[in-house]
Amino acid sequence: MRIAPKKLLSAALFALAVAAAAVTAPPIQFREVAAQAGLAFILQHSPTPQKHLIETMPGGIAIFDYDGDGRPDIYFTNGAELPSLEKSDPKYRNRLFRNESGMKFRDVTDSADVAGFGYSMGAAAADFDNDGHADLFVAGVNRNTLFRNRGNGTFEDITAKAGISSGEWAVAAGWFDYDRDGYLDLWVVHYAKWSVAMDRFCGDTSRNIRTYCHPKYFEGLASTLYRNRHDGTFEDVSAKSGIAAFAGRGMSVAFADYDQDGFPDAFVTNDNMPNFLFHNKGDGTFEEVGILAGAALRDHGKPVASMGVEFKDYDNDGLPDAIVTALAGESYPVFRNAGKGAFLDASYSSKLAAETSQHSGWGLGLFDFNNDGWKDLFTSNSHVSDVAELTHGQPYKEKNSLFVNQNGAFQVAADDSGLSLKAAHRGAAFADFNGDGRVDAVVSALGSPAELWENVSPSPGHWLILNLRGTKSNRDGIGARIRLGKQYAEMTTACSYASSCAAGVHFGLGPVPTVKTIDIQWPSGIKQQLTNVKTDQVLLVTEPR
Amino acid sequence: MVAFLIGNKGRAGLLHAVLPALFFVCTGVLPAAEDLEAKSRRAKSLLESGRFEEAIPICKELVAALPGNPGLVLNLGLAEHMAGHEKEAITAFEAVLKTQPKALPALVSLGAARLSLKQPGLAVSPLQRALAVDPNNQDARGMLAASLNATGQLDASAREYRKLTELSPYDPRAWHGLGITYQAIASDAFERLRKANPQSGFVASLLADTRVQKHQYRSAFYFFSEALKQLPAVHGIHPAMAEVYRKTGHPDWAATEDAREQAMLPAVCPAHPGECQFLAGHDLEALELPKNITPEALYWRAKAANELSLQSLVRLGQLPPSPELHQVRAEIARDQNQPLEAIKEWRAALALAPGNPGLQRELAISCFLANDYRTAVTEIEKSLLLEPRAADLNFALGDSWLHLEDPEKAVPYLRTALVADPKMLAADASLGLSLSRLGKFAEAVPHLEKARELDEDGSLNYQLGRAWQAAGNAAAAKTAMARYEEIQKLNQKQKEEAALETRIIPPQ
Repeated sequence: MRIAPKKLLSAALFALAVAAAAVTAPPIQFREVAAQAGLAFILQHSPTPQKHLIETMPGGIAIFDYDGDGRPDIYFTNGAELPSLEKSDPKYRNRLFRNESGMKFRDVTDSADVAGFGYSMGAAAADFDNDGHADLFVAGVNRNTLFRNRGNGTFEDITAKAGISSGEWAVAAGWFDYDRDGYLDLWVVHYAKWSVAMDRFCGDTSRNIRTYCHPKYFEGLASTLYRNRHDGTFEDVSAKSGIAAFAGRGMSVAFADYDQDGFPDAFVTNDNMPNFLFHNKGDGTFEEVGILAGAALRDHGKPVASMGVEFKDYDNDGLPDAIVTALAGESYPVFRNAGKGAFLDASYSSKLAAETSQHSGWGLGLFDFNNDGWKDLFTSNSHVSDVAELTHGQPYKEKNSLFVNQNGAFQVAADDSGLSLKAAHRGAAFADFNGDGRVDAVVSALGSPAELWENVSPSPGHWLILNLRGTKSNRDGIGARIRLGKQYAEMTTACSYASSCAAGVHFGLGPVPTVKTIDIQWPSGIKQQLTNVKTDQVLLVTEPR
Repeated sequence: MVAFLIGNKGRAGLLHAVLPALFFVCTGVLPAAEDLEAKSRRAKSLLESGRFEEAIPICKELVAALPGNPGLVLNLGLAEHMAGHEKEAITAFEAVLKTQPKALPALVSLGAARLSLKQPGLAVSPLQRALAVDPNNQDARGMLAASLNATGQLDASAREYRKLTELSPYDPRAWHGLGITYQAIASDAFERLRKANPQSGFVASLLADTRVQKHQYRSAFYFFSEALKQLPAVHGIHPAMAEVYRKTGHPDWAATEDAREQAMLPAVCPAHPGECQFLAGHDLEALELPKNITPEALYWRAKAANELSLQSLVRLGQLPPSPELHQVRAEIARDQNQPLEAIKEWRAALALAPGNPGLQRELAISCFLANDYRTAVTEIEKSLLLEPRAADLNFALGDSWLHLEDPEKAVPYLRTALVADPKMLAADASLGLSLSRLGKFAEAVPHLEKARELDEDGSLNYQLGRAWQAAGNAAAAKTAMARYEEIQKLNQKQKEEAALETRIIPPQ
């Protein structure tokens, strides 16, 4: 049968239109609502003429449900006075904001007793003692704090009792159960040796421009791994586990079982040094395989200023990948997990490199912001140097960015997705704060009000949030591996830059009203399958005994 | 090569200076035939209005109609020269000079044409002959000075530039040329010193001076310390070290160094003439080398030449803003690792000399070196219009596209760079990475292999390892990665050693 040319053309055009519709991701839109939500917080980084490097790095955020009401609350870390490193004024307090529902928050720092101490940087929330209440670790400059959640809306500082040491500059931390004993262990990331006495001049004397010194002038430090003894105390197993041999200038940590051997591995970003990928050997020790695996450096073989990291599956191939933020001129690296323990630099092929070559990023979140089944990328942006314009011709304050994931390739969203505020953004954390199934974002910024970006994307698809309840495994189910159709996720609270996102595991599902099967493999090894799960709900999933 | 900046505007000035005379000669010898006279007028008009290509065929017709007329041949040569057809112009000028060996326009234009063809050695003779005819001809002297500089006759070049500054004390080109030539003399003396004995205290002291200029005080401290170990009795090093102490916040240590200089005995002049002349401020005398060239004489020559260069550039700075002044400032900014300032200065230079291809080129490269790749692409593309095959420009453009994460656009430029200069290893490195990004690993390998000798930080071996791995050669990949690790370890060790060396400690 011959088809008339005109009809053929129409058919071709129709096919093209269908194809275009199939690949075009739904739009993503945010609006800034911090002030109206009552989220009044200004990150005090205490800039000094001496340009102490620590001033550039605070701003970690923890999202967790501290009061168990099912709504994610927000904790901001904050700086301190310099050079004393003391929270000598109320403005320096870390702050906890209770989610009162309806996108309203209330400052409960005092009643919860979590104002903290010293110059804080990062935070990590999880229920380390399996009592059903999320606890909080705060990393800081020469001073860390472990707050145990009493379960009555207040916290207890158990740092000393728990055996958590201080004395070094910790930037970030994360909870995971590396030995799969059902209790969460703590990984603390250190940056470098530093004290206020360090006063090297860096910059341009002829123009009297003082800058923050390059990281190369700072001697890096190894991370610390604390094993949970199940009695409220921890053992420093850094040396025993093998990680103490690897000094870096650590910025963030994220966990995922990249080689699917059942044991969670750790990805540590390093500033101007190769990143570390610690492979969990399953016997209580780790081997650092970053270079070998291809996850330490981009394909050009030069280290970049790696900041935050998301260790998640961006291309729906069932394997966790690593996406990292970096400085302008470096592009944000994408390490695609190619299986068999190998990563490929997909910064170019994912199109993220071209989109980010002129941005400097800190926090990041790989979440499905438009619920279409593909995880999109939110980055909180700003250069590290407040004189970058003068010294590098690059902007200091930047807008945040949203990169829409279209079948594994990223594209900057039209109209910047409404992310219109320029600031010295740092930490970022993510959760569905108002229960509408759309993932929102909270961002800190040096010397500026925190931003709360409500996701108001039109016509989002269906969604599902799984809140895991471990029984044999750790109570948060951290490390559980979840497969839902082509999508793969692991339960983790370690996210972004120096931050923590404890708000369940979110899936965007597009037009799917009911999910046929969800497979969960708990850290204990127990496998669980859920069938015919209705979408658009927060589902509590308890590990079978 | 130090250019005596005669751009198209300058050339046009030269042309206008000679045109009336030339055409007087032309019309004076023409027969009454109206068409030839009309053609002559037409040619003159075209030349005056800058339409050189159109003037050429008419001038050729006139030459053919009246063979042996040197004025008409000169006209043709000028038209060819102004249109950029230097080889044809040279033929015409040489023809004129056969019959009129002292024809000033032909001599000057021949020199200019030779310089345009980057044949400064061949420019010297006609320009010297031009100056013999007209010693006050500043264009000829400027070009002669530039030619001598380019051919390594630095002292002669400096002499010509000095005469030029006397003839034309407000000409920034003269002061710039003189300053740059003294710099070249200093560099030459330094290189000769270094070749003779790279570990010498004289070399260390001069290296320290350059570090001070770049504000690299730790490095300067290290080299001055080395110099003082070998040359404790040479004047000037202690005060220089004192300045380093002051710049790094140690005034008490600086005072110690100053005191040591004051306690030194005066130099014994018969034994150390260079030192005495330099210390007495007789820089030109210190510049002169004795018959028996010693390391010490080279050292003081370098010091004196640097001082004279500085004085020349200070004079340049006292004149109204000029392209040359901005050029100097741009070069200083570049040396002091202030790439954004350098770009600003090149832009300012270009604003005063719009369209100057040399300045445009410098701006383009400057943007590239400042990692401002987006602007670099725009600026390099402008320069490539004039030099489409230039290896460095094609490399810079290709590498800029690579940095902008667009390897597809990078590849053709990098290939062009390698055709123009197959030994440009940086282009091989860049092409290798571009091809890897495009998934063409097997094609990338030979380029990365070739570029490996540039690998100072291990990154090229890393790239090679990854490319071999992707191309399926695990053994080769392992070898390359092992080399990467080796380089990393070596660099770490060197870094630790350097950190110890560059600590600033009190006077010993």
